[in-house]
Formats: sequence, structure tokens, C-alpha cells
Amino acid sequence: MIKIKRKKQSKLAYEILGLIGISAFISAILFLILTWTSSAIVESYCFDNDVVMSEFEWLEVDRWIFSLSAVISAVSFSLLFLALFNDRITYIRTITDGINNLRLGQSDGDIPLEGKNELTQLADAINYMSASQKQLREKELAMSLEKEQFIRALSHDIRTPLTSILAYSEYLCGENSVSAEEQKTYLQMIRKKSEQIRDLSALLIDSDKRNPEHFDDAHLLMEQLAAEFEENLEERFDVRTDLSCCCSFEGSFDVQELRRIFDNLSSNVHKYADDEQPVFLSIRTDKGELCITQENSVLAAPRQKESYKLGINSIRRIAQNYGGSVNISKNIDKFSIIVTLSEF
Amino acid sequence: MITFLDLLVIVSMVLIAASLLSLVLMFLIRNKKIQRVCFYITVALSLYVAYVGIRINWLGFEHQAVLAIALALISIGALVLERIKKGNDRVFLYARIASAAALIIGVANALLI
Repeated sequence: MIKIKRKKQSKLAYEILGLIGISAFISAILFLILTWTSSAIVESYCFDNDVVMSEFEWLEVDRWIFSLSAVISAVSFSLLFLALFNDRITYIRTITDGINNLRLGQSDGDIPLEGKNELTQLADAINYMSASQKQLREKELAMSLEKEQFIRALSHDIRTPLTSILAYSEYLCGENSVSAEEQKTYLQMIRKKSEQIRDLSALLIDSDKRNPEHFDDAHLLMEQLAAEFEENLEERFDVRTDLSCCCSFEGSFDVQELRRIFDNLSSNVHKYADDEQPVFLSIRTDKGELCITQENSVLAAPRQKESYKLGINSIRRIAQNYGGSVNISKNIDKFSIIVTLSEF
Repeated sequence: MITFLDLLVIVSMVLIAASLLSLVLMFLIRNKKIQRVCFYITVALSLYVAYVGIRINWLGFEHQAVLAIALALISIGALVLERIKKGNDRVFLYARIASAAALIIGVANALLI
């Protein structure tokens, strides 16, 4: 059995007793000095001035010196003890200030540890509590920041299918010569995008909710997503997809999440890519990892000047769900992004 | 009625008690502000006992008068040192030791020897 040796603490009561002892000792010395010096002064005064006192008078003088010395020593003892005790009591004020700072949330400075008594233990406990509270506050702040980023990313992702719905509906409203078959296709697209918005909105309510589905041949899913990517951009861009290095593989994927990755990629292409140059998308499997690479030429003056990197952050967040990563390289005229998914 | 002798004894007692208290507090108290106040009181007392020593020893006991002057100079030196090097703990300790020595020797010089 391990015996835990407790550190011997000098208790506050002993310290106070010590202060009383010091005060009493110094007062006693003072008493001796006073009686001795006063007697010497009286004797030398009498000797210098030829004053002769009787034995009774000497006894009176001695008693008077004794009383006066005792009174002065007693007063000195009180003053000394109060001064020394007040010096120790000041530490309680330091601790009280520390507690007030903790209450007001200004616990930047720790209470200095002085001595080895119960007050020191109290200060140590308050410092520990203060550190825990600070840690908790930082954790809360980080969680709140993460939540905010998640909501912002999701709001950004909802905008992409919403823009498509608006575009399809405007087309249907404006164009009179739309065939019944075309109308049906567009309505199906609108419905698909609406479902996507519904699913994304559900994530706002339950952020941890994921719906991974198992695919025996995820290659087909990749083909489908690449086709959707191409479809989103084909009106304005020359899209070149390459799935030649993507073998048949199995895995569990949340289709909604993958769709968000591709939507964000196509949205970025719409905003920043040069429509005179081709857009490349390559999906390949390598050593159990899925790599999605997208490249495009960058416009000298992008259509949207300010970038909040919400789309990229959203892709990064989804990649993290699959134990993956996102690598971006960008120079004056070229943009490239590689999304690697490892665990599926 | 208080005689001259009574007054002399009372003054010497108060002087000795005040000296001992200021000396003890100057070294035992942790609070820097109170330490400084005790230091100034010690310097003032040592200058006063040096003055008393000079007055009573001026005629006949020249050596003790010179010693009192030297103690007064030590006290003034300690004060100057403390004022010049304000905030330096080591210098303040030397200044306290010098003023304490000046006060103890001064009291002995003026009242006891």
C-alpha cells in the first residue's frame, strides 16, 4: 500500500502564537532595558547633583520606574503584535481581491503564494479554480466559434442549390417555348435542389447528424457527382473530367456531404475561374484514399471581389469527417485544390 | 508634581521604546511602505539622539561628541542612499542596517555611556 506523505504545514494558529511570542520577548527586553537605564539615569543624576535619598525614597523610585516601564512595555507589546498581525492579515485582503477579480471575470493575475499556512492553501485553491474557470471560458469560446463557423458554412452551402432553383424557375417563367419534356426535366432539377436544401436545413437543427450510406461500388457515385459538376458548369465552361484512375471501390459516404464538396467547387469556379480556359476535375483512388483534384485558370479580375473562404472551409470540414485533408495551391493565373478522403 | 528628573526618565523611556519598536518593525514587517516609514522614523530618532549626544558631550567629552557627529553623518548617508537608489532592495537593506546601527550606538552614547 502506497503511503502518501502529507506535507507538514505550519498552521495559522501557530504563526499567531509565534507573533505573540516575538512581541512578548521584545517587550520583555524593552522592560529590562527601561528599568536598567532609568535606574542608571536616576543614580547618575543624584550623584552629579549631590542628592541623597533614603532607602524608602529609593524603593519609591524603583517602584515608579517599574510601573512606568511595565506600562510602556505593555503598550509596546500591543503595538508590536497589532503591527505584525496586520502585516499577515494584509494577505487576506490580497486573497479577497483575487476572489473579486475571479467574480468579475478578470482572473488574469494569480494570487501570489506566501507562507505555508491555511491562507496559502486557500490562495492555491482559488488559483486552481481560477485556472479551471479560464480553461472553461476558453473552451466555451472555441465551441461557440466553431458553431458560428458551421452555421456560416452551411448557410453558404444552402445558397448554391437555391441559386440553381432561382435560375431554373426564372428560365421556366421567362421562356414560352419550353417543351413539356424540358419543363419536366427542370422541375425534377428544382425538386432535387429543394430536397438538398431541406437536408442541409436539417443539419442546422442537428449539426452532428450524418447519414453515411454504404456503396459496394462507389465509383458509380463518383461518376454521378462528376456528371453533376459538369452539368452545373457546362453552360459557361469547358469542363474536362477524368475518372480513369478511379477504380471500383467500396465505402460509406454521406451523399449530401459529397454533393456539398462538388457544389462548393463549382461555385468557386463560377466566381473566380476564367471561362475562356478549361476547368479540370480528376477523381482517383490511391492506396485506399480518394483524391478529388480540381484545377482552373484564374480571372485577373474575379467576378466576386471579396472572398470569405466559406466554401473552402466547408470542404475542409467535410474532409475532416473522413479523416482527410485539403491542399490548395494558387498563383497568379492558376488555382488547384486537392481534397483527400481517407476513412470511408 | 513632575520634577526635572521625572521628565528626564520619561523622555528617555519613550525614546528607548520608540527606538526599539521602529527598529524591530523595520526588519520584521513585510509591507514595503511600512518598512519605509519605520526607516524614516529610525533616521529621525538617530539624528535626534546624535544631537542630544553632541549637546551633552560637547564640553568635556569630545570623543563622544565626535562619535555622535559620525553617527549623524551615517544616518544622513543612509537616508541619501535610500533616496538615490529607490526601489533597490539590497541598497535599502544596507540603509536600514546603517540607520539601525546609528540609532543603537547613538542611544548608548547619549544615555548610557
